[in-house]
Amino acid sequence: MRKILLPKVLDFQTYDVVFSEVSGESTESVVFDGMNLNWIDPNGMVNLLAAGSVILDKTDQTPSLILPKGQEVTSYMERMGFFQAAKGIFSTESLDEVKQESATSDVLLEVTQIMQNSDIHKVVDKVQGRAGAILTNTLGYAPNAVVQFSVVLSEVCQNIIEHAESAGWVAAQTYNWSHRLGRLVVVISVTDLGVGFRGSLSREYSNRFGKEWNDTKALEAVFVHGLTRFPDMGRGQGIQQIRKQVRKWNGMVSVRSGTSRIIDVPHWFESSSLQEGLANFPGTQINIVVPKRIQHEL
Amino acid sequence: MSSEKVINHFSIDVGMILKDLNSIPNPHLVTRTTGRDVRNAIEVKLSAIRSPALSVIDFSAIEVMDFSCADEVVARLLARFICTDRPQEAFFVLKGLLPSHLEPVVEVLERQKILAVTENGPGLLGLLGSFSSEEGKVWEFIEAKRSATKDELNTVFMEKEDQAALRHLTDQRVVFYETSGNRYRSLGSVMDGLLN
Repeated sequence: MRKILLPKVLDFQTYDVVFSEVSGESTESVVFDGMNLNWIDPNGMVNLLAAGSVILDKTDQTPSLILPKGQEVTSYMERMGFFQAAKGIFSTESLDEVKQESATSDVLLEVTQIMQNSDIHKVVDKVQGRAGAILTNTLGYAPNAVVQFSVVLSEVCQNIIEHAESAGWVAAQTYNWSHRLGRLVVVISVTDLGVGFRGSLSREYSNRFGKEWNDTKALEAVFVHGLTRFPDMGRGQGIQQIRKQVRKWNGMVSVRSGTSRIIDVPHWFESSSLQEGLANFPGTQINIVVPKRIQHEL
Repeated sequence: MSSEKVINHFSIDVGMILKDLNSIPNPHLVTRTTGRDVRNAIEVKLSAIRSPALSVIDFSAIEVMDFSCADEVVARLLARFICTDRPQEAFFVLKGLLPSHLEPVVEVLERQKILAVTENGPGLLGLLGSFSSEEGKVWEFIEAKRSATKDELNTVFMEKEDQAALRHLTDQRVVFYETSGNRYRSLGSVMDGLLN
């Protein structure tokens, strides 16, 4: 049995470590060791589910998950609906240890599987009910931001249904990034195990790019140029509109697909806007971070 | 002349259509699939109406509208009835648009280079989309007067650009050319018939 050690912090900056462990050719059964995990965000949760699913697919055996020793982390994952979503992906004995907790109001959007149209409607309805106070009172946005936030969620989830040809997950939560940024943020994470941007566009665009066609070109085609596999006008707006809105909020959007990641980097975050040569992983992973509104940035 | 004799009125409540779609549990116009279903339902309702028809599409029960739905329900619907092989003669007024709906609606109209008329209050109509200053000026003139004959417009708008603007507004179906009276009518004049 192969053990994959989860990092102490599993978030948008560290889940690549897990993906690189998962992306190998091994068909040996796997245990994900989360014993030392002391912090996990929506990216960590949905991408841990994705990693578990890939292992299940490769080995035909549900991987085990060693729970964090810190009760707070396990409790938080339970409140975020991680263990509910993990049923069928991770072995049940590892999940049986988790004490069921009732839903609490501190969750913006639990880990939610997106398989069909009605799932997106449920996500939007849930967030409409919950996000208003968080966005206005806590993050300082105008009251209409809740609708814009729901629109962003809807468009980002549709990426799964329209392009991935596979199921995926979404989750969102508010955090105090006191060390990283000195303020509160909302983190939205969406992941799927589908064909990825390159797979989605290959039929229409691979010939145009010839030998240069790769994950980076596919990401740039969608992210920068708004291309889509659909020939009709009016398509390909989703990612563009998400970028436009998040830019207005001074936020960050990153999309990882295949072996590349492209990022709209805000002034408060240090990163190159393109990362290549990452471990190959199926589907698409989208991360959105929206910081608290600060008066001088308006 | 009474507008009812020239053009049929028809009101479509998008909120009710959403309710009738059993798979949709809430008042949110989100996802392309939902938009496509709503547009199809609107087109079915329209096909039962005698041409020409003015259809008032009422969005007042809608909370969230995303870009995909705006594209399907507004841009694609209007584009289908602007093109020359349109299924029937129909004109549209968008009603009950919230400020949060305007951004996706304007975005998709501009992207598809089409115009739409919106009701901003009883009898108060506005033009949405990307239009030139000449188009705005001609449309405002007709809308304010409610109707104007060809001769009248030729007298007021003599510049070539203004004439082109009038043709474009007619092609975009944001003004109504009444062949029997040889006059251009605003969609507001037809809406007046609804109020009276």
